[in-house]
Amino acid sequence: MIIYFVGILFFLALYFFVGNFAGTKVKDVEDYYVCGRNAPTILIVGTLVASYLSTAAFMGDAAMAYDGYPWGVLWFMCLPAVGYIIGALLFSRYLRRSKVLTVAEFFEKRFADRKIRVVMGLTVLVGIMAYLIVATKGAAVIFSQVLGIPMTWAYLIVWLVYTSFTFYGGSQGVIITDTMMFILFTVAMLIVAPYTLQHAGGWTVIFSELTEQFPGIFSWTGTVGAYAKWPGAADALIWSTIMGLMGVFLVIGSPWQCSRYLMAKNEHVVIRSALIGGVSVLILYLLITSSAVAAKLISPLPSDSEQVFVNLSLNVFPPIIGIILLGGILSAALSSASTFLSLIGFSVTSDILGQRFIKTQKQELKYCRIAIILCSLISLFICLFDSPVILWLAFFAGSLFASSWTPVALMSVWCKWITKEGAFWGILLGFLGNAVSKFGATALGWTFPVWMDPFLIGLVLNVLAVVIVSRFTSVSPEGLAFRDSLFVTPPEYQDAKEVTLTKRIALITALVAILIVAALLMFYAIPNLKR
Amino acid sequence: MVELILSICYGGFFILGSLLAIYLVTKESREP
Repeated sequence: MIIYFVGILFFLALYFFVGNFAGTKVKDVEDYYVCGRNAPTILIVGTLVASYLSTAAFMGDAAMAYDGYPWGVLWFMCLPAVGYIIGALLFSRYLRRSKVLTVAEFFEKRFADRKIRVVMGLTVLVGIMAYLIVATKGAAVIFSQVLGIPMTWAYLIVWLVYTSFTFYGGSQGVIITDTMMFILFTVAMLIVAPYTLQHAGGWTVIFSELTEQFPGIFSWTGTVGAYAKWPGAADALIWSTIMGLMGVFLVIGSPWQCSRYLMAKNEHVVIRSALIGGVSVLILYLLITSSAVAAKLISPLPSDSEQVFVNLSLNVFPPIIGIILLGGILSAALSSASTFLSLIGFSVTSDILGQRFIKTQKQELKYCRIAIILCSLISLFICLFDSPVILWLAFFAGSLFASSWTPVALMSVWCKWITKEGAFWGILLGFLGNAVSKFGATALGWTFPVWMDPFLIGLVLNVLAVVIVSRFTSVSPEGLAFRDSLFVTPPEYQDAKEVTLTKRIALITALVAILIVAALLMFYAIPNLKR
Repeated sequence: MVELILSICYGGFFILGSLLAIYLVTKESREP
């Protein structure tokens, strides 16, 4: 165990020092909030993917593939992959063009209303705080399990690492460490997937053995019969489609995704990052899913399917591969936690307190750092004294942003007729519609058909509220002028070199996607047809 | 058969997205 302990401590120490070193570059509020709006494509890709994937990818989604639904996992991740491109083209490049410091500030300017910014700031505080707790818990559980230390110590170490560089470096620290973490878990999966497939006997053996033992495992229905988790054959696919749709809305408009683009050097960097981020997600999920499924043929089997990669790391792989994989899983959790914490700090200072309380840049930096420390202490306190209410909220906090923020985000750019009242009620009903139906389903035993997910209920209520309320209220001329300014193309956007590079990257990522399709046809679809 | 469609869709949606990006970037770079 000592070798794993040393290996993981090495990664934590590396993030600690690099993140804090990045903090020395912070000179003003723009550096702290949006990395001086000077980040190149690689850093935006790193922070986008690392913030989106947390332990849920390497534990929850891997478990779903391991439990017999590899297609379900692939299906719900291929939609957010294209969601990155749609989001960049339809929303995020306009967000970047507006030169705001936070996403909520964009809405304040678009609707010429400070109240809407404060409400959005509060949803960030509550919703992302819950998500931060989940990410902290995920990292601490792995840390404690692998190193055999008590959970209290695991919480304290994990908390100290991400809080230190987020507090000192702000976005400068977060974006660099996120990218290092993204590289680590991508390299880990590029090593782990071929190793696991080979160890399980090669793909032909895996396909035939598993199809025999678990009928339907490689078909679109997922496992059927005695091992099935879903009542109907189509249920897994319907559920995956809804989750995929939710993923699309999250990558387009959730604060921990679209805010990443505020740091981009220019709008071409926004589009390129979305293309590379999307294709990275496609590759990563292919690797995660195939390794998790292949692990069904490798003993010792994990006692809990969520532990499939932890089990492989500790009991199957050579220590060096095990350390890289465990470091990668831990990094996925830490990168999400640092992004969440920075967003909460920025939101409390800039969106909720605002200029009424803060007069100078120096004051804003000071208050933001204090807010980050206070919020991270609150999250640590909740983790240490397990609060069931918060844990329940954390369970679905992410989907709240998909149903409340994203529809209004898209309409704020593309619809002239949306009013501040329409936006306010849309956000509120999208949030409540999702939260209340989820609460009913989990706490009160309400039952919904699989196609009527609480996310969809919130989404429909959001759009209806925006359309109906906007019809009976009037558009603010100030907000409309701001919207018009978003459609004035900056001259640097038409720079021939930048345009050529963006088009070339779009072409390369499309070619990679064609190769992925070819591999899926050869190894999944055609063997299924032959059966 | 469904697996065939799903395989194509897995990368296919992304390919369509990339083509859309190429189209929009080209179009906007030519605007006066």
